[in-house]
Amino acid sequence: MTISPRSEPAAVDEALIGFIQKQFLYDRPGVQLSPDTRVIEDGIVDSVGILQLVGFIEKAFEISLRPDDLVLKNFETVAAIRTLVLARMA
Amino acid sequence: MARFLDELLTNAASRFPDRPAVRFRATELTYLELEQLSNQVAHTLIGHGVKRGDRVALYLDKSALSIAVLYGVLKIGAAYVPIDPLAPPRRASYILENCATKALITTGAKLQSLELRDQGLLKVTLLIEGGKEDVQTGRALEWADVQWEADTPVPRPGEAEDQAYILYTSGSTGFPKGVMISHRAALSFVDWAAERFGLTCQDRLSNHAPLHFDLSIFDIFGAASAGACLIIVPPEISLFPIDLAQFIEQERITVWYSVPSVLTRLVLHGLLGNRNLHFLRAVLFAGEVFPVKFLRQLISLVPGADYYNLYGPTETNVCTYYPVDRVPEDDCATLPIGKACAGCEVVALDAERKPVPPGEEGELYVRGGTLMSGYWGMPEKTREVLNRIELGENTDVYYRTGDLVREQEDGSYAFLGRRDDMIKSRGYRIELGEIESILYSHPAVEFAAAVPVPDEQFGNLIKAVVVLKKSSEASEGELKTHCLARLPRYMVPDVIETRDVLPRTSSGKIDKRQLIAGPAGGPRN
Repeated sequence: MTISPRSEPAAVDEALIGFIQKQFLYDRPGVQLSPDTRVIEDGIVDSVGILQLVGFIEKAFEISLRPDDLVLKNFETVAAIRTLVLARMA
Repeated sequence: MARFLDELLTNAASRFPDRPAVRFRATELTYLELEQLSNQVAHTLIGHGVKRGDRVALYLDKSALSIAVLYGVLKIGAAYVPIDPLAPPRRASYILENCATKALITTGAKLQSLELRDQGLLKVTLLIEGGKEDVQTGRALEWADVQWEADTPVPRPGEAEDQAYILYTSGSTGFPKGVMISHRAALSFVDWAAERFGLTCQDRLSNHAPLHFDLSIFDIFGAASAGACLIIVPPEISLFPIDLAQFIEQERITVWYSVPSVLTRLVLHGLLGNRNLHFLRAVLFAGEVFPVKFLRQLISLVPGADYYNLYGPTETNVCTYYPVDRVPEDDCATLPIGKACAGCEVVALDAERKPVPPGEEGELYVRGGTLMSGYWGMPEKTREVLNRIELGENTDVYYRTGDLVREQEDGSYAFLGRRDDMIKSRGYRIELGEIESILYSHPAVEFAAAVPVPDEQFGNLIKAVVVLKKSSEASEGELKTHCLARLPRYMVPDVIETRDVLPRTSSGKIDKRQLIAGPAGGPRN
């Protein structure tokens, strides 16, 4: 999946939520992710998961994240990840 | 010398009442506060009939409170049973029932999730948060009940041989095994470590490992034995090496202890060059092999610290160690596991249990004061690994590690591999057989095999390959879900492939070597 470089925030959220649901919440179909769900602190994404998530982001949005992008602040929630993605697409 | 682990806290509270004992996020408790809080927990448990020899499970996330709770359990002569807070409720329930837990300390949400068959099992349930309904109906106590209790010491019954804690580790037959460690065995290790690493009240020890992982024993009780500060690493920070490096700097950690894969990720992604880590004086690692190329880089980035490779299965505590004086130049070389710690003896034996000469491969056996008492409720399993062996003039009980080693010229041991199907991933030990038996319990699975996929950062990832029964269907997601409901997350295969057949050896066994080697056989269409 490649998302248009001019993606809208809502489309970025949708792509991220879709990936996290499919990859990390397949056993919990009842859990509804929102842009404000704390995906790291709630244990949804673990240490291997974070690498998968970064791989997905770089491929889907055709961006490359910088080493110093990989901090908790940028990944706490889907909204935080979206902010990072949009900044790197700009 | 202390006879009980909890005496370490009591002694520290009288020597250093106002020094910080434990820090987690915004919470800091002094030694006096930790002592008093743990006394209140002890009074609460006694008041509800929990006594010496009982098991008290801790099914909760790490926090300053969790340390107080743990000491409260020890103070009444009971054993604490830490359960992985990320373990699926089914597994947590198994552990509770397996060791006939008398009391449980947890949260409201976790209590609700349990699937206990015997509703009368738990005599006391204490919730550190949530669960209003259970509290109102009298099914559980709440934290406020603890705070009403006296903070004075409780009578301390017991013997040094009493069990202090039970740690559940992966079992090859599909069920986790409870490793029972006595106060004496734990103290034998803690006393050695505190002296060898020169711990003082000025030290700030990291606590990275979860409570159910035996690396935490050094952190928690080593800190108390010296009156040092225990700094609990928030789990979410561990996922981000840059944040973790910053945390080590800001918290002025002096002694770090973790699995090597955490350190590898710090080297690769932590931007350590930007950090001032001069407070760090000792870096200890254990649980898996540390690739020497990453250790070399770590030492060049943090040159002021001393480095130690610690070795020992949960059943023996740490039993050997290797002070890193030089890193092998060959990237393919492995770091030695070193020589026996004080109080232990290690020896390499052959299949007939005769000593093998230095330079030859043998299996490592351990004897000494740090050995476990046995596996809870599994005398057969215990007999498989704890045996009286006659060596020369000595006859003693030895623990059979399953690790293959070779004694080197300088008397230290090199780790060569495993005798069986156990692997390490992210420092956790995993019996592949346990994963396989969970896969076999899925109705669609005909055959299953789990193999390690070596990974630089995590040690190993896990791949499972299954053959489904005729006209059965099960997606990878469904099989993973099946595993997730029964296994801790770190044991769930990262990949589950479905094939038409599994490769077999000439004797008809599943050929794991071929599965490890690659895609031969190919996925099913």
